[in-house]
Amino acid sequence: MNSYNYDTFPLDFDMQAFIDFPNIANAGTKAPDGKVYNLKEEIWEELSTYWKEKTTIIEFGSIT
Amino acid sequence: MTKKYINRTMLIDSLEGDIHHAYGRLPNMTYIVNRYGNVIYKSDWTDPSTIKMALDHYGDERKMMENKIRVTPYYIEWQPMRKNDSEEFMTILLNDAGPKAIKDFIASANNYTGPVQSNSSLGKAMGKKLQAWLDNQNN
Repeated sequence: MNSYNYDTFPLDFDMQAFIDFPNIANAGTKAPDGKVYNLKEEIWEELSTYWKEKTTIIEFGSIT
Repeated sequence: MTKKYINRTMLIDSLEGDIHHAYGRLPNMTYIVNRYGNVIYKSDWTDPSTIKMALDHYGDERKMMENKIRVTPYYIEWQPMRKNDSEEFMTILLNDAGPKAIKDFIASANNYTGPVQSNSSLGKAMGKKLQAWLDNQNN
C-alpha cells in the first residue's frame, strides 16, 4: 500500500477536526456504535459488545 | 495482538474510518463508555493520568450508588497541558512505523498552510526542525 486512506496525513493537520471535536460524541450522550474487526478473533463485531460487558476504554490510533 | 508494550484488544475500523469519524476523527482520542452505552469521558489526546483520574472517580460513583447515596451528574470542561517532545515522538515513529512515515510527517508539516499555534507540530518551522533531526539520525 503506497497511499493513505485519508486525504490528510497525519490527521493532526486536519484543523477542522479539532474545531468539530467539542461537538461530537459528548459526555452524557450515547456512544456511537458500529462494526469493527477484531484482529485476534478475526471477526466483525459491534463496538457495543464491549461496553455491554463492562466499562470500556476506547483508544484511537493508526498504524502506518 | 501483542507487540512490544501493546497487549489489549485491537479493533480495526473500516478503511473509510466510519467509527473514527463518528468519534471525532482525531488521531489519538480516548473515550470511556459505561455499561449503559453513555460516554463518561472524552479526550482528544490519550493521557494515562487523566484516564486514571476519570476511572477512579467513576469507581467512587459506583460505590456511592451501591450504598444508596443519591448522586447527580454535573458537567465539567478542562484543558490540561501535556508534554510535547517532538524528538521523542519522531524516535518512536521511526522505530515503530519506519522512515517512510517520518518523511511523510515532515512533508505534511512543510505543506501545511493553516493556522499555527505556538509550540505546535504544524508548519514549515516544525518541518525544518524535524528534517534536521532526521539528518542527524542519518549522520
